[in-house]
Amino acid sequence: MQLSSQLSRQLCFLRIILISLPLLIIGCDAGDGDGLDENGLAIENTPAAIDLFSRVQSEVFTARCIACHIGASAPLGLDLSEGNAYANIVSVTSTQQSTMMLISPNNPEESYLVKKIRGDSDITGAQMPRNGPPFLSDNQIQLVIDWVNAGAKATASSGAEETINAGAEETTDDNEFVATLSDFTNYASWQAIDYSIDASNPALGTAHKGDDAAYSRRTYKNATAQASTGEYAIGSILVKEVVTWQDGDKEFSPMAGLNAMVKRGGEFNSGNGGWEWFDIASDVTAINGQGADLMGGMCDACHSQAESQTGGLDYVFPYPSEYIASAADFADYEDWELIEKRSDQNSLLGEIAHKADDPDAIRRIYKKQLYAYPDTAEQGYPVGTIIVLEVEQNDAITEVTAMVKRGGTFNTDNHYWEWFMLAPLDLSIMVDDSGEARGANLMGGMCNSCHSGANPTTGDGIDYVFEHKDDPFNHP
Amino acid sequence: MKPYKIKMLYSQLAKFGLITLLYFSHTVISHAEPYFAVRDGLKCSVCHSNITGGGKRSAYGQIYTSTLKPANKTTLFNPKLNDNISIGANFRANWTYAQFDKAKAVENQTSTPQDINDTSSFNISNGIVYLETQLNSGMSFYLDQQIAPEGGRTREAAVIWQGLPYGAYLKAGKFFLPYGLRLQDDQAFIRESTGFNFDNSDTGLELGLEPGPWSLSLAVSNGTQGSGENNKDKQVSLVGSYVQKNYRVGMSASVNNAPNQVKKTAHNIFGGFVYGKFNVLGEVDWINNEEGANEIEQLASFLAVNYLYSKALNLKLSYEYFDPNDDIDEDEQTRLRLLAELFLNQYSQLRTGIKIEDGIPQNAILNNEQLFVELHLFY
Ligand code: HEC
Ligand code: HEC
Ligand code: HEC
Repeated sequence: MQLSSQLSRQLCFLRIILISLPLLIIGCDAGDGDGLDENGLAIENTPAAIDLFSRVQSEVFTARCIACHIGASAPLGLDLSEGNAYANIVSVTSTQQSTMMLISPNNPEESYLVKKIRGDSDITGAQMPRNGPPFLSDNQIQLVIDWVNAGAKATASSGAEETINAGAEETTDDNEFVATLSDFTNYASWQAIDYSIDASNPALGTAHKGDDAAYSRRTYKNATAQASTGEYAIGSILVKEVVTWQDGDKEFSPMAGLNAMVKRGGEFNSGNGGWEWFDIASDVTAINGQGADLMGGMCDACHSQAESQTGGLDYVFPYPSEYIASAADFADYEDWELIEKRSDQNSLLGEIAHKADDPDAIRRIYKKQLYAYPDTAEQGYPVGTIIVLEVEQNDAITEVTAMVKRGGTFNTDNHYWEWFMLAPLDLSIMVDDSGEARGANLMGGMCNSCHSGANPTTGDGIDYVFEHKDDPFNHP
Repeated sequence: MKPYKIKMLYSQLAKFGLITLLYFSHTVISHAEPYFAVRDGLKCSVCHSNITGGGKRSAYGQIYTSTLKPANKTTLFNPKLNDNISIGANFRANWTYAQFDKAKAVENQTSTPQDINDTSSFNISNGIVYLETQLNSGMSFYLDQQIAPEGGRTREAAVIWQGLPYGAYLKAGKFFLPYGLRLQDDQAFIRESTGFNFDNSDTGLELGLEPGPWSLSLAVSNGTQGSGENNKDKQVSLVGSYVQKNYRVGMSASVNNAPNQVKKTAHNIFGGFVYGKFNVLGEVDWINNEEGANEIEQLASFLAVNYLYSKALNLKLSYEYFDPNDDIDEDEQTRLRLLAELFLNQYSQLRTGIKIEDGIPQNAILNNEQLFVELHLFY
């Protein structure tokens, strides 16, 4: 009993110490920051950072991450403190999503750390920094992206571009983004949001080679643009390539082959959404023209129509684009490129399709845009691609079918193709009981299912189109 | 827990008008805070399935909240799906307005200080589901899965084996390491700087003893806080507390060795007591981050005074202090918070308050005033 009362007295004593300790601390105020920089480090220890990674370290990691990501017990073992961060992130696999690197040089979209600070919807866990909001500013995120785009180097390759770029951003305030050449250098690694050929958008007219079936267009979006919802955030960049093919190589249009629009903000071009327009050398070694009035104000003027289209927004046309064909599109198909003429019994036709039951039938396949190139990505053929097959029996055309890469959200399960049956006599779209013979599920879905066999795995074709000997992009 | 036992507890609760659960070494509402445990002189294990506190509430933890408001005793919802499987959830949505002070220029530097615009944001700070499967009288499987914000991740997945000799238990798998007060606020200096919070779990083995008023837990884990194991060095963490009806004291310690001479050690003392309608809770932590010859010593502390205005309404004043580097003068940070926590019913709580953060004037982010409202649902 005595022992226990003694113990309880002692515990009581401990209790008092315990309470008074924090109470003593209450008397303490926050530091007045004398002689310290914004990260709370002695000023002389922090030389002005010039190269991109030093800036990433001090302006992002040291400033916002090491409250947690430091030392032996850093979350997921990720130490982002000075001297440790680089080796822990560049080309290092993420713990949360092991299919991705934390930083994949030149490839911000495949860099999980970038996705985490942007708070992309497909991340695991929370947006970083975990103690946000506030999360990182657009400029801080862009700084990380710029560094990744510039190869995620440990220190600057004394790269004049990088420093100039850094300087340019420094002199402008938070609400303005002044793009320099290096902001475009790695556009090809950004997300491609569209690939189209021909006048797939009625507003194009002759712009961006919209009237030349030999050229296709691809649009890329930088990370800031991707992260934007509603109006584009300052620092958003959209780049558009206009290309054709020469001996299997990409060949840019000699006129405006590489265009960009950059959301600059601030006071800039405020009557037109703050966009700045760019004409860039196709090898990204120079900016040939830039400004609010590029092309005599035509960029502004035409792009201002974007909002009037469904899905268009803030001077940017709707993506992915959609091409809705009409009968007129097929009227002159016999003038297109004939990519194959055959009359053999192709076993892939299953003895039924395209008059395969007649051994004397002749099949001719026409491609409207010879240079429609089925790329390896999801999109395959560019939106707007049209291919027609005619069957001739006893000197008369007895069947005309067509496939059109429609795009948008059409027939997403079958690579966005729309199927058509045309009347051989007048090339109108045939009409049956259920209306026009066109759509995603024409012939009860048979066009889809049989044509899905045209893919690189079977070796019979690409992207639902069977191979043809005179198609430069789709033959053995 | 057997039904008659629950009944007994229930009547006791009602009799003593117990209010908040203090979740000290173990207990209470998913994240509902150690102040409940202190208030009622309970161990965390009384209210929390995972023994060491935080996460899914046990049957008692469920009942506890239903005593907080008169109308709560009947419910259409039963989180116990059958005798062996029960579920739980925890969801916090909040709105925060933050206003940042203007940053002061760094001496001798020409660059303009970085100001931060005020923010006003709705957030889901937390969305968790729990699953507990009782395999036999002593053994259970426990899962704590975060489903929001953003993509999901497993915070805890462990086998818990209770009822071993001397009231011991074993936990194996991935779990929150035993250390300090399990405050709901992951960003509290004492939780963030030590790295022991609901954001960090680690894979390993935990042994606990709960003899009489004592609670002791010892864990050995990879020390990689959930990432792949890369070395033979392990983390050891330990918490012990002595729990009495109107006060408790405890201490914790942890050592985490990582490759390349990187090492983190931390220890603390904590405690709390009840005085009438007040209860007080505090913790002081000493942290040491070593990297070769480099060493950073930190000090973090937390003090909260709770005033139980009514059974369902708690008012809280808390103060936090943090010295991020003992070798650097004038870099300290403080936070003062005034908070009202109201139980709307046994499944929800409304929290609202203000928070004032102070730090070096060169950094706007450390100097702000916040107003927040949070709706917390749990079952
Ligand atoms: C308040 C503490 C805290 C801060 C500050 C913080 N993080 Fe985190 N971080 C965490 C936690 C906890 C996790 C794991 C849980 C999660 O992802 O939600 C994590 C996970 C990560 C991951 C995933 C690692 C992987 O291997 O998959 C990355 C990347 C990351 N953080 C980057 C950052 C960056 C960059 C910053 C600074 C801009 C930052 N974090 C700031 C706590 C924090
Ligand atoms: C006559 C109309 C017209 C003119 C003039 C025009 N564009 Fe476009 N532009 C379009 C259309 C339509 C699209 C979307 C369809 C497409 O991408 O094929 C587009 C797409 C773009 C895109 C991709 C992002 C977006 O907004 O959809 C960029 C970048 C672009 N144009 C830059 C420029 C620049 C720079 C100029 C001036 C040198 C310019 N455009 C002039 C019609 C025009
Ligand atoms: C049983 C399989 C099968 C079905 C069903 C089928 N096709 Fe084809 N189609 C083929 C084959 C095989 C070719 C290659 C032509 C050849 O060998 O002459 C082809 C060629 C074509 C072509 C020329 C482009 C290319 O992919 O080679 C078009 C256009 C076409 N089909 C349209 C249609 C339409 C529209 C339908 C549905 C009404 C349809 N096809 C149904 C097998 C089929």
